[in-house]
Formats: sequence, structure tokens, C-alpha cells
Amino acid sequence: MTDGRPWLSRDLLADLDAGLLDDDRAAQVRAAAATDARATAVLAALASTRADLAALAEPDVPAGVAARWDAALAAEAGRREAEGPEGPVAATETGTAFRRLVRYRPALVAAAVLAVALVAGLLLARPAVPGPDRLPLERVDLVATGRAALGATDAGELADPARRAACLAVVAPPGVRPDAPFLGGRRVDLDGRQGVLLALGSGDLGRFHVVVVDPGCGPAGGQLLGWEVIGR
Amino acid sequence: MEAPTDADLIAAHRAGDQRAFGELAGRYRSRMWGIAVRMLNHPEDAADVVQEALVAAYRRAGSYRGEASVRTWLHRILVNACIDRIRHEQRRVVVPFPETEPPALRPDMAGELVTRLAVVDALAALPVAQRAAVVLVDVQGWPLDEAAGILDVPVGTVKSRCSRGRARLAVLLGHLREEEA
Repeated sequence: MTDGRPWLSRDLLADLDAGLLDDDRAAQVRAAAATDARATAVLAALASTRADLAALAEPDVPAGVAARWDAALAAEAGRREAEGPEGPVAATETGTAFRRLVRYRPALVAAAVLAVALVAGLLLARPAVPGPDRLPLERVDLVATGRAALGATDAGELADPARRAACLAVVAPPGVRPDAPFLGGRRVDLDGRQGVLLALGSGDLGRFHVVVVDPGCGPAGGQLLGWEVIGR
Repeated sequence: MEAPTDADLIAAHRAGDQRAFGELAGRYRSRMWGIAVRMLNHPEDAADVVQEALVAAYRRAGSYRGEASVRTWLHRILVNACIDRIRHEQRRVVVPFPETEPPALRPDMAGELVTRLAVVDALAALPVAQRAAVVLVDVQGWPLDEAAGILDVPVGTVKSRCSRGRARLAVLLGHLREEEA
């Protein structure tokens, strides 16, 4: 409460400052406050408080945090892709049927997957990547394996950021930076060749790269065995 | 060519466009991060909550009916996630978030730093409803009507929460002594 005018409480003055009072009441309180030193001090304190709050800098989003969000949205995109436009129930039925098909007719599945990939132009659209001759099924598998690798830490010596950056500086495909955020890694056999699959942030939300390199890849060189972009 | 509107991007996302939601989120993720960091005062929790909000929005986009703008809808999901986190986990923070870019060429950098850290801590001491209103209106500068949309309360309630919050902060920041209140 103020000395001269007990009704000029801090809360009333804060309400005036916040524009909560109707015009007549606001004019009355403002006039009274103008002649009351303590009320004036309260209004000045509220103005300083507003200024402090407005001066708070917006924090930058750390790169690692942005990469986590990228991965989470990419996983959602993958889930949606798997479920299809008819929703989770239909997708579950489709998934069950697909799993049954995979179990009993692997050759048919391979042919179907290859046909879909060709029709979609995926193979034609991708730049040439040095790697295995037997590519179709394995290349398609990269997408699912890449999503499953998010958060995995089984990247062998390439878990070391310096070695990974040196490796990528030599073999990274277009658009993959040597210092790309590491989202996960897993040792794999691709076309019978040992490799390390790396899930790497692209800098775009919901989109990441899956790169497979040889396990010895490092400053002395290495080989790119496979590459996919997920969530384009 | 003009950039797609937020509503265009939501419509494209619903139609199956894989990149549309990422573009939408990219427009607002800095602002969302700022809200979460100021609300929670804990970077790891803030990262979790923004992620939860983005994933929730991704999944719920099909039920967005356009009653509010897309950005209001998106930030409402975020603020609700922040409030839930604070209320359910009761993780009041003591570690101030480090400022990454202190303003340069200020005459009194030491004093400025002390003030800004104090502001962050003082915000964390406010009741959650007041904190949300103050962060939106005073820290980020949202118009009152949009802040009301995000908080899903009338404009008068936002003003009232800001009023109480600022009065409390004025004391916590040392601009006002408790006995003057």
C-alpha cells in the first residue's frame, strides 16, 4: 500500500499498467498516482520489469537438439508412410499380409519391391554411388534399417566424431556434410560386405541421410557402400 | 513464386507431402524453443517438450479445423506440453540457461549479465499460468489476442496474469521492495 493513498495498491497499479481498468477508472488511478511518489515508483518498477523481459535474448536452438527433432519427425514420416493413407487399422492389416508374404514368397516380394522402386524412379533419380552390384533389395532395405538405426550407437570406430568427420570428408555423397549431426549408427553387412551404417542429420526437419561406409573408413580414406535420403 | 502459407503447408501435409510439415516446423521452431526454455528453464526438458509438441502436431494435423491460425494451434500444443511438464514432473529449475549471444558493445556487460540471469531465475519462480502469459506477451511480444488464443483464455485473463506476474517479478528483480508492494 502507498502512504498517501492506501487504495493505490501495487496490484491496482499493475492492473493499470496492464490495461485492465476501464477508461474512467484508469484516468482516476493515473491522476492519483501522478501525485504520489510511491505509486510513481511502482509504475516505474513495472516499466523496468517489462524492459528486462523484453531484453531477454532468444536462445539459439543447439544443433544437437535440432538433430533430435529432425530424427523424431523423420520417424513419424516413416510411420505414416508405413501406415499409408488408410490409417493405422488398414496399415496393420496390410503389414500382417506383407509379413506373411515375406515369409512364404521372398522371390515375389523381391520382384515387387524392385518393380515399385523402378516405377517410382528411385533408382534412376539417385546419383551413381560406388558400391555393390546386387543392389535392389539391399538398397530398399537401407531405408528401414536406417530408421531402425536412429539412436543406436553401434558404429564401431566411426562413433568417434573426428574419425567420422575425416571419413565423410573423403567419401560423403553430395549434400552430406562431414560434420553432419550423428543420429545413430550400426554395423551391417551390405551385399555380403561389412560396413557401418550412419544415420546423419540433413539440417532440414524431418529429413536425414543414411550412409554406409566400410568399417576402416577414416583419415586415410574409405569407401561409400550405400546412401539413401529419408523423409524427402 | 510466393511462399506457401502455414495453412497451405498443413493442407499439403495432410495430403501426404513429406516435406510440408518440416517446412512449417522450421518456421516456428526457434520461437518454440524460446518459449520452452523460458517456461521450463531447463534445456533438456525444453528439448523434450518441443519434440513432443512437434510430434503431437504432426499426428494431430488431420484434426486441425482452422478455428485458430496454424501458428496459434501449434504454439498452444507447445504451451500445454510445457504446463503439463511443469505440473506433472514438478521440475523446478535451478540451473540458468546459458545465453549464447550476449549483446555486444553494452557499456556495463557485467551488470547486464547479472540482470539477465536474474530475470531467467525470477521467471522460473512465477506460478505457471502467470509465467506462460508473461513469456508470451513480455518476452516474445505476442499480441494479446494471439496469446489468449494460445492459452485458450479470454484476453482479460491474459492481462490479469501478466499484471500479477509483472508485479511479482518487479519485486524478484529488485525494482520494487516487498514493503512497497
